[in-house]
Amino acid sequence: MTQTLPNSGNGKTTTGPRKALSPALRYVLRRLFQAALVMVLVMVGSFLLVKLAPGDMVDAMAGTRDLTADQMAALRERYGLDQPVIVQLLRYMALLVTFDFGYSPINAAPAMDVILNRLPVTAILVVCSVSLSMVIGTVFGVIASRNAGKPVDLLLSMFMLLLYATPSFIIAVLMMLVFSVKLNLVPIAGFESIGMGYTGLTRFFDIAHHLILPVTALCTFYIAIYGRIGRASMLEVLKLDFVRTARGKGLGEGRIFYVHALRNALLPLVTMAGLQVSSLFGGAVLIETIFGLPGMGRTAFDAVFQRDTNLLLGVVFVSSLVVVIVNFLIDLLYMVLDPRVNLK
Amino acid sequence: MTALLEIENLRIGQGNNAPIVEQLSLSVSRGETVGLVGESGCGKSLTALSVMGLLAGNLGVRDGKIRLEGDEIQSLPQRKLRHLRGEKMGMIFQEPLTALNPVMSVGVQITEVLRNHRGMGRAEARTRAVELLRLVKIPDPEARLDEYPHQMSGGMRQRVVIAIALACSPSLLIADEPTTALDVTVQAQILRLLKQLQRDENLGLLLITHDLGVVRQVADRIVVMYAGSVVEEGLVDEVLDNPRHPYTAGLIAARPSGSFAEGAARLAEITGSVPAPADRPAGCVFRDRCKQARPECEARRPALERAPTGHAVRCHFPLAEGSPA
Amino acid sequence: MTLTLFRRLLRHPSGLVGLLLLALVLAMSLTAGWLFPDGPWTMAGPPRAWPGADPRFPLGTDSFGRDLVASIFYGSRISLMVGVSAAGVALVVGIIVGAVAGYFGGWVDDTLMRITDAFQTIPNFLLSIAIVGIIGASIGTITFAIAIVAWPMIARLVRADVLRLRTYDFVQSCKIIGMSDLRIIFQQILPNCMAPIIVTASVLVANAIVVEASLAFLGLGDPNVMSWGTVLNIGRQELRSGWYITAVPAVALVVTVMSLNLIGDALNDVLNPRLKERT
Repeated sequence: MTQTLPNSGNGKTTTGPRKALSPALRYVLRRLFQAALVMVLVMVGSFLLVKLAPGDMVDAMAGTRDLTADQMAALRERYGLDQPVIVQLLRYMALLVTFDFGYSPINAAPAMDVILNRLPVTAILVVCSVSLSMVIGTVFGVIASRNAGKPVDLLLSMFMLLLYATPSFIIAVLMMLVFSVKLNLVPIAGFESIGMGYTGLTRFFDIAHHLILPVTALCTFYIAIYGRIGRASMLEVLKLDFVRTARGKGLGEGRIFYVHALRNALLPLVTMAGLQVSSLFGGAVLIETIFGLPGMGRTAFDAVFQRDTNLLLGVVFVSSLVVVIVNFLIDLLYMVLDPRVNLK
Repeated sequence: MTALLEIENLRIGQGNNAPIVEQLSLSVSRGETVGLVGESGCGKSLTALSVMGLLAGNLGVRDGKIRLEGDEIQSLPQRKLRHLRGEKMGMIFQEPLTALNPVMSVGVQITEVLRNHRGMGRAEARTRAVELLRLVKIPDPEARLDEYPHQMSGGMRQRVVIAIALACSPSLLIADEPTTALDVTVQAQILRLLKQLQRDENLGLLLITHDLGVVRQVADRIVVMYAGSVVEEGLVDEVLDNPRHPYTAGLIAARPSGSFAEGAARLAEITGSVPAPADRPAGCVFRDRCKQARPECEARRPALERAPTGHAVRCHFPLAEGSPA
Repeated sequence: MTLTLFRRLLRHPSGLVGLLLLALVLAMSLTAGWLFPDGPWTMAGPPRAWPGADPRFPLGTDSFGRDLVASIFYGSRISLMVGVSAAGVALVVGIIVGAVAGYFGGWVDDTLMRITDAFQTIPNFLLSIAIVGIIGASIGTITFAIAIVAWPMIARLVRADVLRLRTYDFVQSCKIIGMSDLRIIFQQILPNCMAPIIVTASVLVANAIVVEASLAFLGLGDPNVMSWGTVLNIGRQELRSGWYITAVPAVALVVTVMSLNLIGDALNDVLNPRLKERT
């Protein structure tokens, strides 16, 4: 707000891009710096949380093989677990910069490899559910607002209220019951058919077939959220003065509704998408567990149960990184969608 | 002068409640500026919106006729009416800050009118939009076209709104308090611009305002509204120099004279406030606040009596001709 | 004021339905001990009795022969208790952080907001699982794990309101007469931003109930208490043979969450007169 453009006083207006570039760039850099700071906080916080736990990684290893006290001490020394927490933290951070998450005892592999292996599953789930729920929810919201007060609106609003109140894991279990157990329409679990050797398009359809239920289960709650926000936002926008101006110009109701109002009403929905990505990366734990999908959430769940701290911290780091990146992209998108965005 | 806009006996109501506007008649001719004056809440803006066919919610025209160039607006199908808006009549709103869509560039908001009504292509509409911005005296119009409303000052935005209203060269322009939200210096510029455009384009201009100074400066005729109906009407100079309705006289007396002198007369005020539609008294609606009120005023509602000069007044006991305001 | 708010809620259609449903859940939790003195864990009858099969067990029994009605009644206690206490903790932390950040601004604001960002960046449920998994499952840790992911939302909400309100004249005049910052925050500013907080509180309680059930469903519930999630966990293993074991707690959960959402919607309408004309 306080920025003054160097040549704004000489009376000649500079061209648009030059004027906009500098604050926009500064904004981007500042957001990047903030994102980095948040990531550091996330890591320090989760590292300390893990250190709160009774027992460490070596105890976890001792659970799977017999280790003598001497062997355990030797392992602790090897992994630096005998050092003060602050030293361990600094060492860990130094490793993180090179994307080395350490060794995952329960998988007997570097934690990074495990995560890279699992990330695509969750990524597919999240991308499909975000896009689907956003489109369907927005359409519902728009239809409801267009018919505000009429039976269609009432019906849709009640339907969305029901979806909103039903936790995704309940929907998942009930759908599994109906479509897999009773009707046998879709596979009950798994990411793809094992041992069929599908490739190309066949594999794509096979995976899609497996993911119908999980994606639907992850969508329902958000369809309701987008629908409710979309409806409220449209009704709010339709009351604004510029809509009257648009009517006064003699524009058709369609253009007023779908171009003038919708473009404004979309803004809160875009913000919601950022939140959704973040909560899906966590919420997917349930869905991945129910449908036996080898994703990030499932990995974290196993890591927690078996005290695989390196793997857990790795999952937290990567999930948080994805969230930070998505939020950053959404801020950039916002800059494009809303010219008023405050670049302060 | 042929009448461009004729409103006859208009009544506007909300749901089944008491009418907000009633017995309202006025006309605007081509090349004429009519000032519609009254306190806030008297129904000025509703009248304007009803002409545009933009009454929203459960507000609606309950009775009376609105004719634009002979076409009766209420009987037109929505499509026809939409075509009249923007094409034959344009409207300027009070709040330039919110009257434009914040996420669309000024250029798009101007060109979409042209593309909608005139079927112009992108390039042609853009050329015309530049012309329009030049017409409303926005400097550097080519560059301004790609700006967004928030990058402009209030005065600039109001010029854009005027440009939009004028895009298809309408014959009637309705301006609802076009300068109220603006700084005093900018107000004068916008008024001058409106007046000039009205003359150059031979527009009929219906100017809604609560500011008698604005009316005197710009309008040819004045229509004074009180509590939903017309109480006095006539040529601006005649009405303002020689008000016959006690309400008009009160409005004039309540105006600051513009003098800062020690001895300047204290502002007179009209006691009380405009009654809500449901609380309007029987008989003359102004009698509760009128110093001259007599029993007669309670018994019977006065009719709008027109003198041969065209000066009309709705009062049983109009002030004498020539009595000072 | 609370009384009139309550009355206005009762007059609102969704508020009325929501309050009635919530009263039902509350009644269940209050009468659980009296109706089922043996507690929810006793094996009261044959395992896997379908609803209606045995008149003693109108909703059937689970795979251990425990009465599902008793489970649901006792489960409502846990849901309400965890829901309300987690939301309460989140509200207190969120209001303090948000008010301090918004009121003092500057580096205080920057620091607190980055911490808030960090909490919002870690996927919520993942953090809850990690906390419960690491510290160990008990009602206390579960409440803590739910509250710790919920407060940032409140903090942001309160901060935005305080930022707006602190520029107002009445706050400035409090400063001029030398009122302490704490008094200004708690006596002058916070009472003016209660409306959105109250509305959000109902959503918070609903969320907390869902998270608690989810944790128990995953086997991360307090092993000493019967929660709806516990029943859902048992039911999941019996999905093929006895889907009613899943359906019964699911309905209880949905009804409770729905009642809170309805109340939230009603509160929103009642507390925001601006939006009233919409309906």
